[in-house]
Amino acid sequence: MTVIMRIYVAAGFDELTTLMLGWLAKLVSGESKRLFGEDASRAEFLSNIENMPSDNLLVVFYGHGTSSALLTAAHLGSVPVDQDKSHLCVAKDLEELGRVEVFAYCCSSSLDLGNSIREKNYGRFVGYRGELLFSTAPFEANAFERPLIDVVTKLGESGGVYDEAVEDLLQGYEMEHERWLAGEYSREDRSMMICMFLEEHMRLLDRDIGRSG
Amino acid sequence: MPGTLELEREQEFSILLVDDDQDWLTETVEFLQDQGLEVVDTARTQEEADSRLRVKDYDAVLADVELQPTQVHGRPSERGDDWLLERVGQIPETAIKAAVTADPKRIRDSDALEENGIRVAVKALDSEKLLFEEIIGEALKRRHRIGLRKRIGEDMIQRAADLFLEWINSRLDKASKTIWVGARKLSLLDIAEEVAGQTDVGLRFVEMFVSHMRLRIGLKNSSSPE
Repeated sequence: MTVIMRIYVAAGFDELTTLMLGWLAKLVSGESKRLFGEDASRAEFLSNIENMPSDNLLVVFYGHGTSSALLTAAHLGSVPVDQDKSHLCVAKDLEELGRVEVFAYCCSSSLDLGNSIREKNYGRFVGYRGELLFSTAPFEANAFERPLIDVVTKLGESGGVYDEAVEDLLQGYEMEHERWLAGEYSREDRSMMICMFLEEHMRLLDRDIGRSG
Repeated sequence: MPGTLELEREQEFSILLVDDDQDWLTETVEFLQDQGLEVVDTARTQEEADSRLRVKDYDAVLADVELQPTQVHGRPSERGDDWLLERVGQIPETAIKAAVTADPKRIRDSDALEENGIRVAVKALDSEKLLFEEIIGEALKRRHRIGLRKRIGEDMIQRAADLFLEWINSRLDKASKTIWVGARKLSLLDIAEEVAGQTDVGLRFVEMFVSHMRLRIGLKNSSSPE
């Protein structure tokens, strides 16, 4: 049986990422490494992948990203991106590993980081190809948590990015979108804006996840 | 609250390089064009530069300080930095203006340059590179905005932006910053200002709004009785 190391990462250093940490913490399954808050450091991350019991890695990340990196708080990472954030993980960190699968709920990382993992690691990457928008207002924020719950739960249980992950994620978004467009939340004050943001999430979700193992 | 949007059609970013060193001109034009800038004009004399300024408003004007003096209507012409100081009123206020030199000690009146918003860029050193990165950065942002406007459609932008600003106006919550665009935290008022200011973020919201309205119209049409 293939042994897969599961690492869940969420730094939680501003309002949005703290919210996202809360979302991810509810979804961690089984025997998994949690790098949350101050543990979401580059040193801790690299130490974990260096001491992996196998060659197969699943990373589930919620936070901020760039086209080439997953990010953490400024004092927890390496190369600074701005005064608040720095690099947690870049493609080079994963090059020597065997199979790598990543689910990244953050801006843009599917572009360069995702492409690298899909091509060099022959792995899988579920992520987004641009800047995401969120509302952190009470109640509205749930619109950006709910669509991912089933997919992240399932990929944690299965130990990897399964073939239908993107379709399932889109379905989650469509159901949430319907609630705000014509369903039970359609009369909320900013329902139109929430719909617009969800549409943007769906537009930016990268349909290419890479090859199967 | 920002009011109705007044939009101007943006043109491609344009640069004027004034230098009698043809090698530098050629190299710099090639470099800028490789970075995607299309409108790069050159002038080797002040006369040429003056005639360029008469026909176009440039977004950036760079003039070599050591521009060789020539006779202009029987009198010696100015150095590049003096020429820029004389012509600053003919160049749009928002344009990037720079006196370029291989030796910053040759600048005579750096205070006057600074007061008139003219930078000093040293050839072949980091400051020049920074200037070009800034110019290229601005040019690419302009191109991105032009692309956004083409996608939305110029005839749609005005109406869509007005409608979106109306929607925001009816829901303003000045105290609350709960919207995140990437890593930026904004309020609805911030977004209204971005839309009214025709920034990249503002145009992105207009594009999202138009796309959403098209979705709603599509849904309405599909549910209409036959």
